[in-house]
Amino acid sequence: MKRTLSFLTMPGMQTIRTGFQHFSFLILMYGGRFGIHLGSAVPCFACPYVPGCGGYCYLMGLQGYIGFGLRVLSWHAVWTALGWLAVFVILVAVFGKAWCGWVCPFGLIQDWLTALRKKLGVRERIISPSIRNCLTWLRYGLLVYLALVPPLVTAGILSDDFYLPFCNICPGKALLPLFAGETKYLALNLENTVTLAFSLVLLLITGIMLVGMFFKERFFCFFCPLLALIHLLKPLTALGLIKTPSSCVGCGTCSRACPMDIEKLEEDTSDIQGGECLNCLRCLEACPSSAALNLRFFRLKPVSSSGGRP
Amino acid sequence: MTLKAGLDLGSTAIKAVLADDEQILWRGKSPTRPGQEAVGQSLIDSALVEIGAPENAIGGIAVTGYGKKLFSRPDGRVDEISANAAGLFRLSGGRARTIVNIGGQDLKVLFLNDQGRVADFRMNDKCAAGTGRFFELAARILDTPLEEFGVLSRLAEKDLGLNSTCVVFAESEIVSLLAAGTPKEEIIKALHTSIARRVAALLGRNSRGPVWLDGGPARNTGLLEAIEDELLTEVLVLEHPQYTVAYGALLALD
Amino acid sequence: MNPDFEQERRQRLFQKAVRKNRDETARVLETLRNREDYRPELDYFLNLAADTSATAAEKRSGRPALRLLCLQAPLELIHAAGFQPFKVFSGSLSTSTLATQDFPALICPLLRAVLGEMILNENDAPGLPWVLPTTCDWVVKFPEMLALTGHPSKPEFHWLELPHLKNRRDSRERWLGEIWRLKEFLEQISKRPIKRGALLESIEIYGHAAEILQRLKIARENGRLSSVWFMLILNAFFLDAVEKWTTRAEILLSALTAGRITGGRVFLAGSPIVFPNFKLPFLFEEAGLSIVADDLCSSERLFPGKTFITDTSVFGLISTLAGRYHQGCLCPVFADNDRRINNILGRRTNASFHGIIFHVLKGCHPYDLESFSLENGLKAHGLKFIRLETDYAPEDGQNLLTRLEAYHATLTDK
Repeated sequence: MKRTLSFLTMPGMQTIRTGFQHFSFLILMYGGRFGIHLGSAVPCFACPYVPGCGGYCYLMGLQGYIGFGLRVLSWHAVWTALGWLAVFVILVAVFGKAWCGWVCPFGLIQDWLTALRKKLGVRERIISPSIRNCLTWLRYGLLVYLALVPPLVTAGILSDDFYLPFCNICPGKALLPLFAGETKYLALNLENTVTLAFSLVLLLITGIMLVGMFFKERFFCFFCPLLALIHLLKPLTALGLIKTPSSCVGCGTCSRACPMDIEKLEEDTSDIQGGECLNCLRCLEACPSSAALNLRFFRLKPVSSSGGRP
Repeated sequence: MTLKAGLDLGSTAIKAVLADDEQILWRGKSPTRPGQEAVGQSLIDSALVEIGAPENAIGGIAVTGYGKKLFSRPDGRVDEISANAAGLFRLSGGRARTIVNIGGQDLKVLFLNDQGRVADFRMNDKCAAGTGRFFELAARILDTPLEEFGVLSRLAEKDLGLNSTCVVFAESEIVSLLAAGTPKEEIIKALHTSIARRVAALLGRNSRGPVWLDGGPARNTGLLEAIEDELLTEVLVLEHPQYTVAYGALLALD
Repeated sequence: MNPDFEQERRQRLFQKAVRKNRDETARVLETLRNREDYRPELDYFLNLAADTSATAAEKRSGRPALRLLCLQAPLELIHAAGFQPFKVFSGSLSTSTLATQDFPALICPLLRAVLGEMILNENDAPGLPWVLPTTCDWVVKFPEMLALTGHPSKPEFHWLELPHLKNRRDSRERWLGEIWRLKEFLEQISKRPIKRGALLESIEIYGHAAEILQRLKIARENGRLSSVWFMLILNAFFLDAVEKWTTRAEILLSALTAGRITGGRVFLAGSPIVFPNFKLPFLFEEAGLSIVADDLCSSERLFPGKTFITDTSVFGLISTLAGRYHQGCLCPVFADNDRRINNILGRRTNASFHGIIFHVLKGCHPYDLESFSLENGLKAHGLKFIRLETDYAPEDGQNLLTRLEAYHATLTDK
């Protein structure tokens, strides 16, 4: 039985994706103003620092529940933490990396910068494989960092200013609130040396990221601990990419089209979804071989590469 | 009584077979010459006279072979490889799986499936090495009738081995062997061996069961033994190996 | 020997070849015109094929023709530099006889025909250098062979060193370097820089041509366009401006009426088939076989599919083109070409064929060798396989036909 949604593989899937990204952007950035709130376990950068936002990034919840939960140690706190964890796991299990490629507001900002770069005809910089390798470690390192620091705060080893260690250095916190007219996270926080240090680091990181994101598509995603966390749940995920190796001619169009330059796509196996994959499906759209690359949803293959056939 | 006729319009000879539904009633051949349709038709006519059947007894004529397109209105036209498979499979009682056919100017290897259809085949390309043409040439140089080749090769004391199965090069090689006083028998044996090697090369590693040999040169027992020696498998030949293809064509009329 | 006599003999040989070449082309064109499925929209392609010289291509396209052997130099880049990419014609039996004297007995018929073509049309658009990728040994030795013929034009050759590995990073980087060098070289001879805008435009133009190629493929699969015409149309690709070719092919496509494939559906693989040597395509038809897809560099693989661009800077465009023409190439000269079989198996989804005909041009060793490993792989997938080794000479037609007919009979069996 053929379940291919052919209209999706026509040139235009990326247009649909861009449209969906903008829709999500509106919901997640301004939804609160219209009474929409998707809760505290959104698996993308739905930044809680944006006034009137429509949902909270799970990373904040994760840091918060680890620190706060340990402090209160009530059954209620444990159940709440586990509840949000369950919501997060379910959301990731169903939609996987589509959160990154189709929903994340910070991803969209990066795509705007890429569009600008393309318009100017500036060449994209390529991250060498060895650096990419280091960045993978860094992603997981950040995940460990944001999970380990809150208990230290609870234990009294670190001051309360370390409470949300990742948010304090997240460029999303600096940039996303700007779209709601909030500029204060870009200012130096002179409360004490820790807050000053954090705000200086945040400014520095944001500056580096802005430059990086201009010159390399989805530059920040290489650093994103949420991407790492979603990837950890890959064995549970229903949505993903799958290859039919016997249809692949090895032309490499997929990895050249990939915003994250994932070379794993070219491998001669069916599991070609790399750790950095954003599920943007650009590889699938670019692939010149019929049904070589497929979107997997549970056991279905709802979208497949068409090889340019109408 | 309706009869069926199969004509194999080959490159050196035109072979005809007449059969009814049960058995072959007549076989005959004539050297290939221009006007192949007329030659074929006259073969059938003489067959009818010999078996004493009326002219309208022929229910259908099927043609095959290089000249099959030259026959204007046959009732069936079959390619010679399929015809060969069908004919030999039937005549061997459904036992044949591997066939080597040595024709006037080509050499074929056929692999059959259990239904007797061609599963795969190989055929020499342009080069006529190891074909009937090669034998004719050798017979002319050695001034020995082809029919004697089988007996003579048995008398050979040693196996010389020819360097070439190429029609052109073999000629000079045979001539120089003759000049050096090599006995004819040994040259003939060498010829057989070299052709057997070529058959083995074409057959590759794929043969299944005994090899069935047909085509004109299959009557040559010396060649048969040489092929057996080379392949180290049993080589079987039917009584009239030259007519299997014509018979196979006729079977297509069913 | 009397030098005058030798001179005269050569002159006569040459005249004879000219005459035979003219007859050969005319005969094939005549056969094509008299076909039942001929339609007036095909005239354009027939007229292109009537004159396959570089001069004609220059005149038609209005651009100087840059001669190519093989297809690894990105056409878009050559086009953006203002040239007409021109893959030299190499299908004539009669011209190839002009180039037999000085060479080994077994020489690639294709390159022999190119040499013959050069000798025959001595004054055909000399001047511009050639672009040669180091594909097979014959191509690598081509300049040497041309020099041996004593050809007066003594063209320059720009080499692209083709890394024979596609899957290694350093090979890809080396090839990218070669393409940058090609860009510099093209800028040098055209005396103007290749602008980003021009490159983008060329990519767009060839992308459109690729879409048309895709539609032609579909038309062939469902029997609206017979394979002989398909091959002619693709053979004519380099003979005119790509835009004009595309427009004419589009007109033809919209004029084609419903068709049906009657004979055995087969896939044609192997060495290229170049006009006017259509011996095999005609024999296929005679044996009742329909080629519904192929992987010949003279037809389906003539140019790669649409280029998917993500980085629109010059750097990005060059990198994309380099990768597309290197990794995407299925020529057997590559050492890591094991996924070529997937192209055949993948085409089965749409073209649904039952067997493969593998064409080996005598002397074309890379294809010859690859045919054996492909044979095993394809048979394992239940496809019938036949290997035809031949050259341009017609005398083995009967032998080939016998084999093709028997092959056709095997196609219907399980």
